[in-house]
Amino acid sequence: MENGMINEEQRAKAIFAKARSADAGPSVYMKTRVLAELRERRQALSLRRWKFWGVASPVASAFLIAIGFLAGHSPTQAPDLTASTHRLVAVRIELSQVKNANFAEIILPEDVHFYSEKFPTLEQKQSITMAWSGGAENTKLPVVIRSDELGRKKIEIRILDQNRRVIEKRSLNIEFTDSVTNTEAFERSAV
Amino acid sequence: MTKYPEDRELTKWVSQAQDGDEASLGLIIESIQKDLFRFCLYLCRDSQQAEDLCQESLVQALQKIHKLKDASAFKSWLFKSAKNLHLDLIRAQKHRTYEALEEASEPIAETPNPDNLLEIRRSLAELDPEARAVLILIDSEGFSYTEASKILDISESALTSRLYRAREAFLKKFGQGERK
Repeated sequence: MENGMINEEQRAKAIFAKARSADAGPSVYMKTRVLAELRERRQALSLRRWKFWGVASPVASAFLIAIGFLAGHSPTQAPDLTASTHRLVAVRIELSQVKNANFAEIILPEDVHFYSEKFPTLEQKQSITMAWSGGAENTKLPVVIRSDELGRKKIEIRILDQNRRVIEKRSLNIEFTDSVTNTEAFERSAV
Repeated sequence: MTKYPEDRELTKWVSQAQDGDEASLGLIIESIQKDLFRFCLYLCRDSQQAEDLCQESLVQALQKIHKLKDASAFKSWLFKSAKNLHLDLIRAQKHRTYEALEEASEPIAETPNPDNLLEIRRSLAELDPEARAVLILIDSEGFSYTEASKILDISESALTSRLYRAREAFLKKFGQGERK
């Protein structure tokens, strides 16, 4: 019985081994197709995230896009960004990698509000928490805000672990004025 | 699966890809695509379906590669993903009964491969999907019983008995085909 099983095993393996040496493999374009599809899906995912925040809507044409690499700031330092009051500002907060990160909490000062076309109730909130792993390919936090008050506003970003403990704090200073053009705010990037 | 030098290389590239090295993705695909395609080809009815299954499995695995905790388990993880996608495909086909009838009568597409590959595929096609998968993983792809049982989500004892029955049925069908 046991010998029979061993024979069967050897026979089956020999059959597959013979075919293995003769098989042709996948299309020569497999690698190209996989990498292209991967890129496309990553872009689609990123676009969906932006859509979540309303950036892809027609209103977005009026947005200011700003990128800030965040670090500690003193109140006397120049603002990270300058933006107009009464207008929507899409801020893509660029963070360096944070180990053990699971969530990111964004806290707005009193006169600044979130904006989302899809989720209008967000405007009532002063803070939101979103899942954020902080890995190498996930260092950006998109957020759309608006302020009707002039002056410097400090946005706080807290990075939380899986138990929602704060493991890192960052801040972004935005100077809201009534005379900033889109281009100025777009070009400005913080330290 | 780290018994061969190429497996160690693969583990290294997977770790690099997890750290954000995009160039490693291409190396991973190059090193594993042939084995994965053969696995898919044995699972599926035709080469085109196998190509699609192979591509989709690779895309999904590489998209989620940062979630994999043990880089050395990448190959098992990828094959498990291919097996699950194939089962999803079978389930979807079962719901499309009118097409399933057509597919049942469809001959396995001829490939330019010589020798016994076509006969192997014909014999495998007559086994149920679970039996087919266990036989391919152990006898063709060289996974250990432990690895294969993890890929198939079954105990090692269940795998052993399933493999015994699958092997017996396969050899019987293969022998019949050869005599024809």
